Amino acid sequence: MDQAVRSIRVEALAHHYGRARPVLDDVSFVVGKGEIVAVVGRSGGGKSTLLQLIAGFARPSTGRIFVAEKPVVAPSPACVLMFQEPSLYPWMSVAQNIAIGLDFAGRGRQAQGRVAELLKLVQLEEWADTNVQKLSGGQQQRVAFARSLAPEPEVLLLDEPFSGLDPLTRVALQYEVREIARRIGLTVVIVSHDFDEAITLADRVLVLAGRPGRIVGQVAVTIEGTRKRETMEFRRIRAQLADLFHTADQGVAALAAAG
Amino acid sequence: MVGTVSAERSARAPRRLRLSVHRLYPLIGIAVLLVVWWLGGAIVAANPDTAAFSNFAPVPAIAALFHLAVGGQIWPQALASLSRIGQGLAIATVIGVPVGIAIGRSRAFQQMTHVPFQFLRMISPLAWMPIAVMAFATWDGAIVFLIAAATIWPVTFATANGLRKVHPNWHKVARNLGASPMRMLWRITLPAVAQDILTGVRLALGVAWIILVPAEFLGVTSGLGYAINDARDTLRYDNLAAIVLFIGLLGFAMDSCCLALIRRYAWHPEN
Repeated sequence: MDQAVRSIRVEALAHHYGRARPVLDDVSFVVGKGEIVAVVGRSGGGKSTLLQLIAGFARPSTGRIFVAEKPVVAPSPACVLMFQEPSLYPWMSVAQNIAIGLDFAGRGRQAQGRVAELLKLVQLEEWADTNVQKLSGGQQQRVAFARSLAPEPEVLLLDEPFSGLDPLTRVALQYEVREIARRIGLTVVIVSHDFDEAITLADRVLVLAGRPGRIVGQVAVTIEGTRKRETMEFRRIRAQLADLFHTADQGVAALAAAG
Repeated sequence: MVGTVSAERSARAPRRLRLSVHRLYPLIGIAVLLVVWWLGGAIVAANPDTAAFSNFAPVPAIAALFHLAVGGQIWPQALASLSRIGQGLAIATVIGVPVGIAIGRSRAFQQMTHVPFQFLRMISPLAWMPIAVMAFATWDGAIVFLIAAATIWPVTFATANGLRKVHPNWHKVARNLGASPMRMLWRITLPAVAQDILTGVRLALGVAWIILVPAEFLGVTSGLGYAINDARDTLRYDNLAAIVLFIGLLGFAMDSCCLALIRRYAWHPEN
């Protein structure tokens, strides 16, 4: 990971939908190249909005976002967003789903080799010609992951992609995604309401709290090797994150009381 | 071991029997239809007031169909009708699918077109006939127009309905992966709604036959509708029944083709 090179730069971001209350306010952070950053926050706290803005699906009300030092103006294969649901194309096979981004980019000829490589990466070589509807939830998320990696993005954004899976598959995929992202030097931003998921995956966890959502603190995850939930270090980081939330909540309550 | 095998065999036997009974159901349906037809023919033949129409019965009708098919008289009429249906359906599909996609994708377009389309849809296509006859130089053109005017609605609404069921993330993912509007259309939108489009075409096919026969009663000198009218004028009721039977068979064959295509392009879990 090269944190001196910035993959994502978010500057004084604020956003609201129409005349509704702002969802995000004064959000600023930087993600280094190859870094894995998790943003944790409550449901409805603006996490998904933040990813949609970084991916270019919406324009921020104020503030600026840069991916690979270029301002984000529209969705692009350089910054791929992976949704909570796998959102695979059900009329296609596993290989066709993975190759679709290359086809869109006019790189259909390269698809065969690249798809084989990605199938190996996500351990689905035997399923290449199978229709995606026949796969389990975990396998479908693996296909979605491989499809997101196919165009070789600079940044991968994960919007709670494991929340619909059973706990065992979820943990296995968290380890797998972290391992693959490290191996290929991919920059990842994952949003989650699950502290354990954030600690398992990320090098750094940002805490998004309050309404509108603001970054109220961050915790570096320095656990070496496999990140087991029962270890002291893991529990210490979880407690730190909980403290940050608690402090932020007290601040919000005090502001509300002050009128 | 032998006991287990024989027990398995006896367990499979009722299942096999159930399967073969299932295969019999369509044949039972056809048999009931033939019996009703035969009974109707017998009743008509028994009544002196209607005895002249006794050739509507199955035996003379099937014999007449055989003669018309072997003698080759029915094929040019069938080709003329199929050509008109094909042209009308093609026009309906070429216009209906893009309009349906626009309705399904754009709420503004859906709201703009709702009242005019529902208004136009409710007008019997045959009500356009006088206008069509004046507007087109040939009867052929008028008939094709009437078929297109009648069949465009099932194609349009089936396509729009299919689009509404498309997962919103599919287009988002494609946009994110760099799909151009044309690639989005060919690789995502059309395959996603292919089954619905074909269901619309299947419904349209039934509507097309309903419009075609009365439309061919007037003006043209070819087609199955014309042949029915001609058989009536020449009091060849066996030929008339034979042509009606032929239309049914042709319609059934075309519907089966549509069904096969729907199954080929179906991806919904229920399929």
